[in-house]
Amino acid sequence: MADYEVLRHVTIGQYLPGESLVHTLDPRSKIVATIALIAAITTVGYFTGQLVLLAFLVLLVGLAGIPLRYALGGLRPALGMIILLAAMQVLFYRTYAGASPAPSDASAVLWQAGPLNLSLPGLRLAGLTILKLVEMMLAVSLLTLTTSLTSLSRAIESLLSPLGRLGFPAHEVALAMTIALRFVPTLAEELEKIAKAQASRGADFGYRRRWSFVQRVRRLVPLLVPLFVTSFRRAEEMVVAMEARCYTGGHGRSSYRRLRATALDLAAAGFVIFAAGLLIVVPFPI
Amino acid sequence: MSTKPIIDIKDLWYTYLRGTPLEHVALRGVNLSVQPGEIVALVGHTGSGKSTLLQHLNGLLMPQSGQVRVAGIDLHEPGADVEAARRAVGLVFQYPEDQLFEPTVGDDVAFGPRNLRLPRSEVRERVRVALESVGLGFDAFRDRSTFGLSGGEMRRVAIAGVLAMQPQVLALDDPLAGLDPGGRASLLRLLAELRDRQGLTIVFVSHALDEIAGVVDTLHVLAEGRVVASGSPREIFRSPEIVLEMGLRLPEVPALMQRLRAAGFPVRTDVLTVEEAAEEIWRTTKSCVM
Repeated sequence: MADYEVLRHVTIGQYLPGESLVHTLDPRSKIVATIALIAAITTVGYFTGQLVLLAFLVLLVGLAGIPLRYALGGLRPALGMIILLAAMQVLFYRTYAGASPAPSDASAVLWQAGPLNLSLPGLRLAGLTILKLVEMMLAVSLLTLTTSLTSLSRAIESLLSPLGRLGFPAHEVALAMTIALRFVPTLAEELEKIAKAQASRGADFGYRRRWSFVQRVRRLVPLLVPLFVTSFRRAEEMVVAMEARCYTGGHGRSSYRRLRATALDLAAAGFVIFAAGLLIVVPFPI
Repeated sequence: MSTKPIIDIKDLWYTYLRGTPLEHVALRGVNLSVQPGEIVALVGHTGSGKSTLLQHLNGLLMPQSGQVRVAGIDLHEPGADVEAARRAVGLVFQYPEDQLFEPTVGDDVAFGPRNLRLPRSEVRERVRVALESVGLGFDAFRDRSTFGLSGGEMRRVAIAGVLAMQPQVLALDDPLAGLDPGGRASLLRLLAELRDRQGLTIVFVSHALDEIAGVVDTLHVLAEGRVVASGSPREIFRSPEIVLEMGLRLPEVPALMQRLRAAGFPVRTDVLTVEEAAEEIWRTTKSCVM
């Protein structure tokens, strides 16, 4: 049975208002810390290091008062993909040292059949990949779940503003990002409504299987045409609304709420950067 | 009443995003039954659960708890025939003109019948009947560009698209929204005609108590996910406390009668039209003078 509510289950980009320490940190230090964490997640090649990162992220999620199940909910749609990736990494793992296609350490191979094999380094790599994906997902969700869209975009604008001197349109980029993110839930809702309306006219989304590619693409037409039409109209309305309020671009534009980084914000960002750097350079036993 | 209800809902509960921090209870034990051929309006504030309730009628939302029986189909039972429910109940969403997608009117109305895999001649016939029953001529409109129509025409085309499925029940979510007074009146006339000529049962959501009172048989007032009052418009206006309590505005005529009554004139308050009101005031003042 087609579940039309599925679109609303996307946790990335969702914001859960709260009063916790994580919520009240300066959004700029949160962005910088998130970047540092992602750098560490992608580069650390040791289980110990990755587990430290995972523990740290889980701790932060708890500190922010977000149910861990909910924070991990965004993984659900990607679960199949993650499992497939891990399985491929295990089965096709080879170390291409020189021209030899054989695994580097023969003793580590547990099972082999043609091009497929099961080796300890392969299992290790797959385990690391899964950990990395889960952590990445947690890090990004943590940022968006605890930071409202407006403060996020103002932080991006503020972080990019030094580039403004080189002619980089920091405000415009931040605005475009805000608008894009702002309309994701709106368009998702719109899509849900259109899908329901066409289903009421006998369109089948999901409960009758059709494998033909042409058929499947044709099924999207009744969704995409109305979605485009309404999006264009919305965009036009928004332009009119902005012009009616004398919007002329970012030059010399002030904002009602100013970002002010406190010692705590600097300390938090500094700590995360330091810890991430440490994890990247320190060699762990496994 | 003696006939079996075509829609029978018992103790229906529904929660959006169940099991997440954003969960939101939309329906809290709704009971509702609709007789075949009735015109029923659901009124209430935004967030009172009207649209959620409407989407249960054709199985777009499945009951989480409680019973929903529509045209003989028990949607609360596992393995219920959802497709049959979709055919039995035609659902027209708010601003249905947003869902048109084919370049020509005829093709758009034909979308539903084609999904039913009907033969070409049958599809054509259904499109003709559907367009004509919403007051648009088949020959004049079938080849017109969908996106070149006026707002009111687009809405009629969208309703025709649902009628072409030949449902037994037509359910509409705020069909009057965004129309001018003339458009609203003629759409209401259309709904009454569909009932009178084709025997359709009509359930619709509306905020315009003023305009719909003359057309509907039964009003259901919803608040916070429950049906808090049901009855004919006259019954509801006779004791409008519940309507006022819900923060809904009483239509002009019954409101005037309420004020007259409060001022000490013994007038009836279950009055719908200006003519009736005039007669009632005439009758009362005459008896006062004498």
